[in-house]
Amino acid sequence: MLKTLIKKQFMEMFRGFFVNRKNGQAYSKGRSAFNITMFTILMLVIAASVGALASFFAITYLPLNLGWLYYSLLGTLALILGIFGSVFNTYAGLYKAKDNDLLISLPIPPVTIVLSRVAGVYGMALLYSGLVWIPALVVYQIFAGVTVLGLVFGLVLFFLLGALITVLTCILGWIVALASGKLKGKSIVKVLISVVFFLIYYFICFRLSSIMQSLANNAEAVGRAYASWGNVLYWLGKGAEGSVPHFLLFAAVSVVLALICLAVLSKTFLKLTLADTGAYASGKKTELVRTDIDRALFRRELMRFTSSSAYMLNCGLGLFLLPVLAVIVLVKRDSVLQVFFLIAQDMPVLAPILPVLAILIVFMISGLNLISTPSVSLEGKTLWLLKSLPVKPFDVLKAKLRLHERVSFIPVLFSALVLCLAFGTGAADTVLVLVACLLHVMLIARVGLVFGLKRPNFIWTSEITPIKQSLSLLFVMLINFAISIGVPILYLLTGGRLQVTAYLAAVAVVLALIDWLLQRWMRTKGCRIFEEL
Amino acid sequence: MLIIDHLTKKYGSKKAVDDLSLHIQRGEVYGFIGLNGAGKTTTLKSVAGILPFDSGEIRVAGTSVREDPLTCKKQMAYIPDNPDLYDFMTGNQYLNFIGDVFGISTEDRKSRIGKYAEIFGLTGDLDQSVAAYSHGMKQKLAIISAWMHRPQLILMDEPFVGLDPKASFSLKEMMRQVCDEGGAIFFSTHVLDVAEKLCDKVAIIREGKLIRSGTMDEVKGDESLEETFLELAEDTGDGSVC
Repeated sequence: MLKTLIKKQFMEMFRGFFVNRKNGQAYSKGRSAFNITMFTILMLVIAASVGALASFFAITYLPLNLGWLYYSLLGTLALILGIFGSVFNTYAGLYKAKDNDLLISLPIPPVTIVLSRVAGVYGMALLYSGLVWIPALVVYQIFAGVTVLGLVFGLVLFFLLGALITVLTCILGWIVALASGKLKGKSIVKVLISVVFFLIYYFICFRLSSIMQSLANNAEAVGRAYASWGNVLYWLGKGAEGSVPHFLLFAAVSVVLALICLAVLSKTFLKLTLADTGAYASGKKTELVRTDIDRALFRRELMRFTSSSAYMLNCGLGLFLLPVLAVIVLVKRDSVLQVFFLIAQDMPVLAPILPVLAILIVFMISGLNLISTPSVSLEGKTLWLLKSLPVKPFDVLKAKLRLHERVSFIPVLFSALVLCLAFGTGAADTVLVLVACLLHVMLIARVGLVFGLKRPNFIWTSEITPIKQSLSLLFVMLINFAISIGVPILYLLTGGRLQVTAYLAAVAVVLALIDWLLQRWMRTKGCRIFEEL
Repeated sequence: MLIIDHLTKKYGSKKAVDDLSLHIQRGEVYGFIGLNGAGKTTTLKSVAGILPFDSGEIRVAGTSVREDPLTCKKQMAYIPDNPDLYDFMTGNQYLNFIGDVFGISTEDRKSRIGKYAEIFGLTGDLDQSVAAYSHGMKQKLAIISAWMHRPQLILMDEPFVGLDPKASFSLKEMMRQVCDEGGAIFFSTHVLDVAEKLCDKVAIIREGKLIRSGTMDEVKGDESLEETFLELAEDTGDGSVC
């Protein structure tokens, strides 16, 4: 039974390789092989870049006999990435799957349903953390030499690390489900709970990294302070190096935590799932007032977005992080400036555009807003409605873009402005930075919608499938990453021959041009694709 | 009101609808019957402008669905066999959205929603989330939304499934009223008793092909519609078209 359910869970996750999610028809063997090959290449590219980082750590720490610190640091990174990859899926995946009612109605013990759902979360945790841990393991064997024990422990620890990530994400999912019972329909509150948890978690992680970093500068201090038997990441590092007691300790902690987590989830699964079927009285009477089609379509998109905590968290995380960034800069202005001036000492060419570089952080964080990307797929089985109503396809697409833009503009402008003020950017540069940030939001909205139209998925049992487990999202994130990194790199390539103001103006013009081209595509080809869905 | 002219729709190499022609006049309740997979839903979806078709023509009040879908959609309403509505809205929010799309004035939407919600006993549930609705309640909501903008042509795919007897009765009355006021209804059903009592005309489709159509008397003769349908449905020959 469990095997069947797990198979079903993974079939849904990897269905996109074998089945056209637009019309449900199976791909040919050749097309499936192509899809899998492309995905593998993408994963290998990411793993290779992590491998480069791991090589840097290996060169730094292995000669100092700090192999465990190498593993601890990369283990932390794997943990962060693994949590990021699955933390916001867990609630929806465990408690909001559309086949929950069906499975509960069948003679299946709740623990089996929970195990199959958790297996899905575990799979995602392995996928994301593996992107760091596997290259780290390979690089270590190259630099330190292959030992059977180190290799076997390293591999086993990979699966145990995945279990630890699953435990942490399941705790959040469980807390959100508990809160949902009390806050029926209050998606925004669920989002805030999740974001607070997320921020606390990352705050601890960053603190941990900085502590490790500072300790790494002093091997003596490292030995004294870090070799305590109370640090899970230390056990992980030592275990991966081949230390049997530390390996066993880490394994025991991971397994015990996983068992406790499973027991708690299974015991409360029925109560929490059945309590959260979406049946609630809104308590608020809708005012029946006429509005125009554009506004009605926009409101429809907004309602969908704000009704789903999973959608808001996974595709609107930047909305919550941007104001946090602004507040941190306001409160810790001196420390932030100090960091940038330290970098500038190492790279003098960066000094004149330091404030601009800092502002580009806005690009990175606002790129976490991927609201438009899954919006076509989220129509799911209700697509018939839009297609049977007398609305122009472009009006529908416009509403999707507007939602992305309107909810992003204010946090983006606010954080960009705060950064400009904090870094003492001149008026002209500030205006250009604000314009570039707005154009960047428009670009990501359009790129996301292009992918949403080209690779729609209308066949899903949990909204998490289009919201999180979609290659389109990954592609848009990579494109955003390339743009964010590309802007300062291109400036560096000019060797400082171009004035910052002129360069910012050029960036804005290029962004505006691409936005215009994508808008044209949306009006013509995009509309045709939508009509044919 | 509706002209379906040599409609053909293929899924891969399989013809779901094969050279189907039907004329539906104003004032007619037109029933569409056939076994599962016969092509009823495909035909209705093609008329509704949801499904592109391979060849043929569909005209609603003289306007081509292919050439000017928006004008056609403004004059008609479509209710699918399984009304998947927006779970993230309440009943009222959904109806308000439909009202905005069709540009219904505030006064009209209030009075029409009030009237139809009362008929279907849904008044107290309209501020509930659609996610909380039963299949029958969703069906009622879909019917209210279809009737809200006073369409000239209403397309319905198995409209009686999930409705309680009182709602079924009310729907039949409403269907007749639309036709009495000059509109037309084209609907598929497996409930042959209802079709026999309610329809002015009926079409029988098998494996995508129209095998008989006309007034109820022309189609069934002295037999019951059920007997005629079963004979035609089991007939493996080419069948004849009236």
